[in-house]
Amino acid sequence: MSKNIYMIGTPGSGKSTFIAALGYSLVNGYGIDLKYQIGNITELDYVSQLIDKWSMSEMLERTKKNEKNKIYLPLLDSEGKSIEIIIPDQSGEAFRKMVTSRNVENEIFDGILESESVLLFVNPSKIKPHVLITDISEELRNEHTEDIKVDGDFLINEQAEYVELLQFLTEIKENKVKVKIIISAWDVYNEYSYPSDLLKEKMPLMWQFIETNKEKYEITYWGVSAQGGSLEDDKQKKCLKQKINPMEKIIVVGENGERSNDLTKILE
Amino acid sequence: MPEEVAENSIFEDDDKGITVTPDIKVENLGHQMPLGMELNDEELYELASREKTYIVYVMGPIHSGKSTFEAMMYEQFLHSSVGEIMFSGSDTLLSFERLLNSLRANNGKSSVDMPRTNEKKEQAYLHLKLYDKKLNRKINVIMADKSGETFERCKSNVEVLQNEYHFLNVAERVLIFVDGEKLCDFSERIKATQNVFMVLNTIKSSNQYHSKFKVDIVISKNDYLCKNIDKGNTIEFLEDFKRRIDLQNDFFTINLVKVESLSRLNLKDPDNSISLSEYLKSWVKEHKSPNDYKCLPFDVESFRSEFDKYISRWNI
Repeated sequence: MSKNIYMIGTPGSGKSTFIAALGYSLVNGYGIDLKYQIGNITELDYVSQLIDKWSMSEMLERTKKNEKNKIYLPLLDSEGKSIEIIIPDQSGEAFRKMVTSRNVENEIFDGILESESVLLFVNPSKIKPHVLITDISEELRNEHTEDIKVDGDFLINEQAEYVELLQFLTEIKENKVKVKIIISAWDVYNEYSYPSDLLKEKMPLMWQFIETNKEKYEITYWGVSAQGGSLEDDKQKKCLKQKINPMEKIIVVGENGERSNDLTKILE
Repeated sequence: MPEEVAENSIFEDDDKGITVTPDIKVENLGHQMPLGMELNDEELYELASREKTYIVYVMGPIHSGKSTFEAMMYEQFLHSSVGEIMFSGSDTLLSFERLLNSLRANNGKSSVDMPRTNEKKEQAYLHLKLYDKKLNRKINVIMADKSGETFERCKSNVEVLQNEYHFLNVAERVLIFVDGEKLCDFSERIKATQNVFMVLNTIKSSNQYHSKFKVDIVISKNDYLCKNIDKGNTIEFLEDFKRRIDLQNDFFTINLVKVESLSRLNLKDPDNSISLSEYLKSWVKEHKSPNDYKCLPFDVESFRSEFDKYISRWNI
């Protein structure tokens, strides 16, 4: 029995790190407490590369623009029943391009259409604040214009990008769309209890859209830190590297605030 | 050579037996999604035939603040819901983002410079789907966005008005913009206010007019006006303007509204300006559900299209 799960998210939203951490969790035998365990594998080259870097708390390279990696994870549930998770890992640029070009490549279209659920990755720490010209004092505006370069088309607010991606999902799938909102970099927001509260505060447009379209989407919220901290901060990086059990880096927060380090719960 | 090819074949008899492999590259065209830009008449009709709509016509001269107003109506939802009103989607999200781009700090400019609305464009309708939490219902707010040049052509010409603003009679509201900056300028203010009365007379003379017509005279850039109100006799001029507008109440349900689109909630003139959030709430509050409507007889022949007939049923 196979289960298609499709991952969507703009660049830097945490998709590859999630796969790395998930792969590590499953392959390394941690987790009699995990919801699923790894079954018999045939090929996990891509995942293996990600796991290596993740386990050493090294920065993962951004998935290249045209790179498409399809991950097949054979899993066993607690009753020994086997299921296969299929997770295409597209670069975030592909999804960004969808919004601007208004065109969904056949492969992505089919992947979403065939999927049982969609994991929509959001990294609020990457969302730039929305500032108008008139929010800045006149002296400052005139002081700094020469340093700012603008190229290409108009800029789309990230919140609007995500709303468009969600709107596209209902164009692709005729029935109610099962979406799991994965709010990544949760280590930055540890003071929040519930993922939906964080989304409401950091991405209010997206949150409003989701909350008012429940007839179209079956939504669950998850907060995830697959990395446990910032690898750009030397102190944090050192601390992460020193962990005996890398699984301790992982934070998973469920919709009702329940915490664990079991990423497989998200795959249910 | 197959017979079906032979008739118009470019091949001579000598070419029999030659295999031609067309060198055609078929691109993976993918699947086209809705464009996310302004709706045209047909798209508006299709939406209105499925769902409740609240049509607002936004008219006024060039640079009177129409596009800024429209952009900021959407922008407020990027920060939070508007009281009980929540953002529930838009078929024209890219259009709003493009408008807002001219206002954003990261566009590299030091002052606001809104792009001119294209006079010739067929698509003219901006769409915001809103959810009223209190009433548990959704409403599609449609802002009909016509250029300042179009307004200039229509304001004194009934036929042009009827052609360009052909859903005016089914609009819930018509906003006529007056540039608040011009009201402070002796050489500009008379023309600025004259535009209002001119277009009102034209509407009254057109087949778009009916006795329940709701008009808001929107004074934009009220923060600028507030700052310069003490110059000359601006206050008296405005009072006279208001008095003359009130005289139109026999023909229209008319309101004078002062907005500071860019001020968000930090109004410079809170005693006189209305925030965009309050203004939007007033629209949503007044929108009637179908059950509130009473059926009145109407002349079917006077409606030009199925859309007119359908929409008027909701509007009566």
